[in-house]
Parts: sequence; structure tokens; C-alpha cells
Amino acid sequence: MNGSDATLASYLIAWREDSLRPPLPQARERARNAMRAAAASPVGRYRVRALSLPFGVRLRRAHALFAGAAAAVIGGVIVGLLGWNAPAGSPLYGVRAARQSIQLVLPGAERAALHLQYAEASLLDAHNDTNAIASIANARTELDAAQRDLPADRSTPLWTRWERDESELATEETEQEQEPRAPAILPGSASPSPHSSRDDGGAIASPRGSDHASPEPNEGRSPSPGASGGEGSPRPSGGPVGE
Amino acid sequence: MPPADTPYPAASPERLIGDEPDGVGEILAETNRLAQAVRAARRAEEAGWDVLFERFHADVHAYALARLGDWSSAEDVTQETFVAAVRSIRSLREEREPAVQAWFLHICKHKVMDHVRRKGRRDRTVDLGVPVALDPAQLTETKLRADDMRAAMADLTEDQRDILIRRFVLDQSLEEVAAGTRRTVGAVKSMQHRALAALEKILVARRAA
Repeated sequence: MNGSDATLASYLIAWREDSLRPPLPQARERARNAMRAAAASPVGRYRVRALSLPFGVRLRRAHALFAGAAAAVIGGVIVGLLGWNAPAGSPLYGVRAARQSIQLVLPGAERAALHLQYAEASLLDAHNDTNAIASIANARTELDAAQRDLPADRSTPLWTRWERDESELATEETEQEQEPRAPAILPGSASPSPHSSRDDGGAIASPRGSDHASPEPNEGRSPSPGASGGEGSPRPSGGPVGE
Repeated sequence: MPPADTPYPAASPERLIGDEPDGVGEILAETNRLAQAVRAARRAEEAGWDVLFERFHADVHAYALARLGDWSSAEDVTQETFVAAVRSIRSLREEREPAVQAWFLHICKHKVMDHVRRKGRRDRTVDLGVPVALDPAQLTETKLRADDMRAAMADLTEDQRDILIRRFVLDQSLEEVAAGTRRTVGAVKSMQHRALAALEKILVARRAA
């Protein structure tokens, strides 16, 4: 044992002796009484925190929190799935808008192609008379955004696709103007009026169903057969909607 | 047992409370008694708590006093530890003595930390108590050295202090410390070695100064 070891050992022995001095009897009794009081008191004792539910069901708070968190996750997934392709103007359109916004900012995203894809999806909604006015407005916004992101070289296929979609949009807008004016659900609007939607099975007949009111279904539609994707095609263009 | 592998103080032969049971039968009876006490304590029965108090009060008090050095603070912390134990008895999963002791010491450790934080001090020692069974001269020397030791320990980490108290004050073996702190024996050894080396350096420097 060298000098420093001996020094440390002497300190450790002193520390140990000092720490093992027995407590004063009064202090010991005080501690015991405090402990007994805590054990006797229903407030002091450990309690299972529980929630009271109807029919006498008591649920532990931890279980309730877990169930609540699980329900929130499941609810979020359901809302996400339902809103994935929700048409413009629908209550869940925010989910679709959020998804599109995220896709646009992802690394490597082709913004022009994506905007075209979103525009085509909205045109498809308009074509199917799903919140047509809001869908057309949305398609217009997306096509304008696509135009800003398109390359300078106008010979690229994306430009061809954009022109085709523009033509399709013009057709939809013309048709919309020719139809009886009905209040539409615009994106961000509150709950729809019972007469505002044409796809609600109400009094306003669908212009393109079997009971189509127009004598000329193709009037004012796409200028070229190829651009509309063919008669009877539900898609407004030949481009990939892909959603 | 303490540090047979070091030149530091040997373990005291007596336990902090009562005598060690002699035979296997007595050990089993003691184990069974403690398990019954834990179960009774879970049912908030005073008798169960009394057994736990008798068994672990000295350990808890020694831990607090080793850390704080202040008699009245150690008493306060000991009392807080038992009251907190009553409130959290459901978190005690095991009924074996080492596990129950580790549980009490764990609560005590956190109560000590709370106390130090509350008082805004680091191991300053003001002894207000009455020492027992030591002659005054020896007591003074012992007390001074112990206080120096606590002051030096302020430079260690909380975990290092925890291990030193268990090893050198509570006489726990490396295995007991490892089980009580949920570490490997190797990790405990290594922490103890580093802590002692640091203390040695600090104390030698102080002595030289």
C-alpha cells in the first residue's frame, strides 16, 4: 500500500464510520409514524388511476391513454386513406392537398409532371361531375403551376401533355358554363348545401349520365379525339393520372 | 462483501440490522417473512410496512448520511424515502431481499438528489446531530475526514457516488451492486476504479495544499 492508497483508505474508513452512525431514536420514530400515516391514508397510498365508464366499467388511466392513442392512430390512418384522392371541395380534400404538397417537395420530384398529374386527376373529377366547379378551379391552378415549372423547350412531351390538358380544361369550362348554374362546393367551404352538389342524387340531373340532358354530348369537348382519350373514356386525357 | 480486491476498508462483520440468519432454514424463513411483508405492504397493512421499516431503515439512513453528511437532512430524506415507498409500492415487482433493498435505495438516491437540488448546494455538511459511541477526539478527526471525503465526492458523477456508497458504506458485493444498479459486474468495477482514482487525486492534492 503506498502513501496515497493509505490516505484514501483512511478517508474511506472515516467516511464509512461517520455514515454508519445510527439515527436518533426520535427521528426514527418520526419516520415510522410518517410512513404509517401515509400507509393509512387513502390519499397517501398508491392508487390506480382509473376512469369510470358507463355500466360500472373502470378503466386504468394508462390503458385508457393507450386505447386513446391507438384509436387516434387508427382514425388518422382511416382519414388518410379516405382523403387520399378526395375530390376538390370535399371535406377530406385537405388530406389530398397535403399529400400533393408533400410529393412536390420531396427530393427528386418532377414538379411539372406532378402538377400535370394533379390537374388531370381534377379534370377527371370534373368529367365525372364530382364537385365539378371546384375540380375545374383546382385543375386550372395546377395547370398554371405546371406551366411555370415546364422546361423552356416546348418540344418536350410534357408540353404536349399540358396543351392537351389545357384543351380538356377549356372543354370542361365551356360545358360548365352551358349547364344550369348551381352553387358549387369550393375548396375550403363549409358543409355543402343540400342542393349544391350534382353528384348527391338530388334534383339536378347529371349532364353525362344515361339521362344526359344535352342533345349533343360531345359539343364543345376536346378539339381532337386523341386529346380526350376517346369517347366514353372517363379520363380527360391520355396522360397518366395514376393516383 | 466489500472490496476484498482493494486495500480499502474491510467489511464489517455485522449487518446493519440484526444478525445474519445461520442456517438454510433460517434464510428461507427470513426470505418468506420479507415476501409476506411486501405482500402485506401492498395491501397497505401496517404490519407489513413495519417489517420493511425495521429491515431497511438503517440502510436508507446510512445511504442518505453518506451522501449528505448532514444529520438532519439525512433524517428528512430517510422519512421522505419511506413515505414515497408507500406511495409507489405497486412499482415493486419482486419480493427478494436484494431487490427490495435496491428498490428502497433507488428511491433514496432520488430523494437525496431532490434534496440537494432543493437546497442548492453540493454536499456541504453541517452536522446538527449528536454523535453516538465515539470519543470526541476520534469523532472530530473522523468527522473532518468524512466531510473532506464528501466534498471530494462532489466532483464525481451521481452514479459513481452511488456505487461508492453501496460498496464502502453498505458493504455490498460487486454482484449486489451490479444487480441493484442494473449494470454488469465489469461496469461496476470499472466505475469504482475510476471513482477511487479521481478521489485519490483530489484528496492527495488537498492534503498537499
